Amino acid sequence: MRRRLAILWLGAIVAAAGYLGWRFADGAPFRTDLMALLPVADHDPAVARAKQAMTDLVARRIVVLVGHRDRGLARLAATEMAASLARSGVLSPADAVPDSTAAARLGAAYFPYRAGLLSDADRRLLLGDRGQDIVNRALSQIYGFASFADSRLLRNDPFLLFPEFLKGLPGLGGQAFPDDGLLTIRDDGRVWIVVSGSLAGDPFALEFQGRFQRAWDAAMAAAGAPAEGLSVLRLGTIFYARAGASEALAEASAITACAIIGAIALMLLAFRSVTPLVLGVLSILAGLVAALSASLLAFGTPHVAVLLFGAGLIGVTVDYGVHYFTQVFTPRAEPVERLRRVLPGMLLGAGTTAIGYCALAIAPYPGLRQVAVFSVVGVAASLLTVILWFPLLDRVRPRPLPAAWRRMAALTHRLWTEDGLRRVRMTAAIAALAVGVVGFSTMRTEDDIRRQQDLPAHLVSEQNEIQRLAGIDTAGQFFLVEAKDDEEALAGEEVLAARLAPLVEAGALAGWRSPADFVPSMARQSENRRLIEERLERSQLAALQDRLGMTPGPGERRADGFLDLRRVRATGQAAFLDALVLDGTKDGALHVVALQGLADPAAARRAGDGLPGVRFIDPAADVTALLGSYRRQAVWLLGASILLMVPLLAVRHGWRGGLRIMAPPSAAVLLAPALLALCGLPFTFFAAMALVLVLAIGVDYAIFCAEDGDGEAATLTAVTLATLTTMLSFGLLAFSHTAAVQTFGITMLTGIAIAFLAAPGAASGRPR
Amino acid sequence: MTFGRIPAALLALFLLAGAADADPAAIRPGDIVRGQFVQERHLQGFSKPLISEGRFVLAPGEGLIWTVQSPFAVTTVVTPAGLLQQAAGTESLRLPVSQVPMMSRLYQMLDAALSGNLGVLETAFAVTRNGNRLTLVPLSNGGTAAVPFRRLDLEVGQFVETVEIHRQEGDFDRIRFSDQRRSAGPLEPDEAALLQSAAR
Repeated sequence: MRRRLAILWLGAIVAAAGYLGWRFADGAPFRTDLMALLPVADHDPAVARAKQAMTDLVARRIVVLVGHRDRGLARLAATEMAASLARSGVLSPADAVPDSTAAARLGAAYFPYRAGLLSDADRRLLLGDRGQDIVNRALSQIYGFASFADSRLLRNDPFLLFPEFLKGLPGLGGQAFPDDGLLTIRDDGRVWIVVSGSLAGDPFALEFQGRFQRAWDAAMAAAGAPAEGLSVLRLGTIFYARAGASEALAEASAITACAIIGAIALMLLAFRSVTPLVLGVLSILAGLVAALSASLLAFGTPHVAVLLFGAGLIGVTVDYGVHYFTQVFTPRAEPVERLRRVLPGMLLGAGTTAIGYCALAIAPYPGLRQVAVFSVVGVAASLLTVILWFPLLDRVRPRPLPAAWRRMAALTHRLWTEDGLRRVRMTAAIAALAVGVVGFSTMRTEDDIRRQQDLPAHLVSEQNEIQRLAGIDTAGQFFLVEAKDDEEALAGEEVLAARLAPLVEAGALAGWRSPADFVPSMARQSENRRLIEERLERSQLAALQDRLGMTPGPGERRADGFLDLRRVRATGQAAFLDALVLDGTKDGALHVVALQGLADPAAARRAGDGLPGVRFIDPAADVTALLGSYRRQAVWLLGASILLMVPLLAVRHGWRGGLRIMAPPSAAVLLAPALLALCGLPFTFFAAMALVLVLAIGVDYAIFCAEDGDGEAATLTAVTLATLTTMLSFGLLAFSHTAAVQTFGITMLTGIAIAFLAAPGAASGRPR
Repeated sequence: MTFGRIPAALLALFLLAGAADADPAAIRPGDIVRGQFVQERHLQGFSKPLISEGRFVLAPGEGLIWTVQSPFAVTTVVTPAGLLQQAAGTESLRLPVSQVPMMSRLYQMLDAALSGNLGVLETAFAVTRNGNRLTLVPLSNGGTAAVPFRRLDLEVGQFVETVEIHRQEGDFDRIRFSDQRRSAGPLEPDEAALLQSAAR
């Protein structure tokens, strides 16, 4: 019977492995976007598309400034660099520097519609009925020293309104201006040349990062060769992503290698036999295979974060194997006997773990649900592997427990049992209470993901310098304008602009770019026409023409209709406009209003309040809010699962026993964050997830101790070994340079240590 | 469109200083040239030329103040830092050099010319001399892309006496200078203040 079940289970695992192979053959079936983690009700395809478009616009863009005191050397270096990057194919040449013909093409597209085009300043003048100011400006420009007004322009635009409108169009490069074919910035005796472009690949893809790095090195060599004293400043997601990825990879592989080597050494050292190691790995693998295939079956494409947190499962499942094999240090020689001894504890442990994780699944958060399913299935499969396979494969003879292990294992036990240490125990309890009270009163939470990533300082300072020099500072936040057509969207942007203008004056915002800055709505164009006609031409034109000696007469043909987005975009000279108009909507228009130098996001959010179809989007704040709600959910569910575990334990150990077992892991879950708070570390989502694991693992320790009752050295050795392996695999994460990972690691390390020290307390009340 | 047309005027400034060519020792650093001008703008389709009169102050290395007194009062200040135009007490145009890099290049040429280095001119223009007449035609690859005029003609005496700027479509400007005097500095306080305000 046992054999038949074992073979059946083998068949199931092999089938699951086959299913995984089939799914992975088409590439890793995981989602990486944060949208997948949003509570189901918060999905909005329009927002998702806009965020993606902005990410493409911002994340794929790189800006490099090449600077030298000598203009010629700066230009040469920049040209060499741009040519090298273009040759390597990593940078698409979309960002051509506007030459005079490009500007002329754009001007030609606008010119026929000049009757309806006014700069903001001129529009305000006319609305204030100050047409005379415009006439005076025209006269001063006609008679002044720097006169650009030729006869053609004056015939067509006697008030010189059109040049003012063109001047008001958003520039392409912030404070950079074209100088002989290159975008140039002058600052404090230095000449900076702008090299910019759009990446030809995904900045987060490792393969592309590698290609880009090689191309960049070559470009730097090409640029650096001709000049000493050359400075290069970089701005672009890929530089951060590359730095982050290479560090994370190096770090992760080092940490993992240490953890694996350490765990293997520990197992071999403890058991002096390969069997426990091999079977332990087998149970972990079976758990992972089952968990992964169940997740893929249940969710189709689960989020990649599930895999990361799911890996924490190893910390739970490794303990079953360890617990089973420490039985070789007892006189029990029969595998079935050994299993019978440890089975109740393992079942109870797995049951409480399952309860803990099932509690996570209550919340409507896809991420938590996926972690829950992954973990519950994994724990169950690992346990089944221990129960069904271990007795059949276990050939290890009983052996004496090495004296060193016995002494080490007895150490924690003595802390709880020796009468002489009562005062120490009391002191520890009071200290723990004090730590808890002070820690919780000083605890602060942190959900801002930007503060949980460690950005390389030199890149940040280069970025700040570029923003200072070039004024390129596109905020992550933006407005999304949804409307039934472009016309309605443009009109909405004009209303929004009127609300944003006071923010610019107040210094809350440096500026904005909207499609309406390039093309006024038809309503605005016809209003402009009326303003020009009624407040300028009717009262001033004849006098001006008379004064200048102009023959009255029509200028060149004016277009009858209105300027629209299509016409301006057709020139191919408005790349930034293209980025703001999201194509491909079947019904209606979707525009983006990009913000620059946003100092007060709350004020910007208020500016959009109540405007139909206008939404303020703050991706970073969304992630922060998401992490915050995940953190709160995790804490609530942690509390709920503690309460749910007690009845299960009570079935076997009675209510008092149940509470006694729950006390050590609960103390760990409460004290670990309090201790970290005392050290000044904030409580984050990642700490909360670590506590979920601390609870699941800590309960097992307490159960093993409580089940054992008489303080058998084998049991205490099992708990000690389990603690050491867990600390090795998770505690090492505390040395990570990524704050999020580090928090996770430190919380695990502290929590597991407390759970381990407190675990014998779960047993001490039982009569011997 | 706007920016491309500025250098014509700047070049006239340069040519004013080009008086140095007639008498290389004439203008020394710190010297100031003051004078009157009459400018005719001949525009196609206009019944008569636009005529303006005024006076100018040129302080080499510091800048130019070009004051039109009639028929419309407008003052233009050009300095190495940029250009400022004021009419009736309000600013009607401001172009910092950071936005028009070409302006600073023309200033470099101005400096070179003042120190008697006319060779710099010939990197951007084909220069023909005929007695006291000088003709400048922009070179197509002269480094001053999109020069907004076709030809400059000037008559040089002790100072530059006339400048003709020939533009597209038959438009041209003719500037006649008179009553030009050279004096040692410094500038009058109001002149210095104007040059300061353009640099702001």
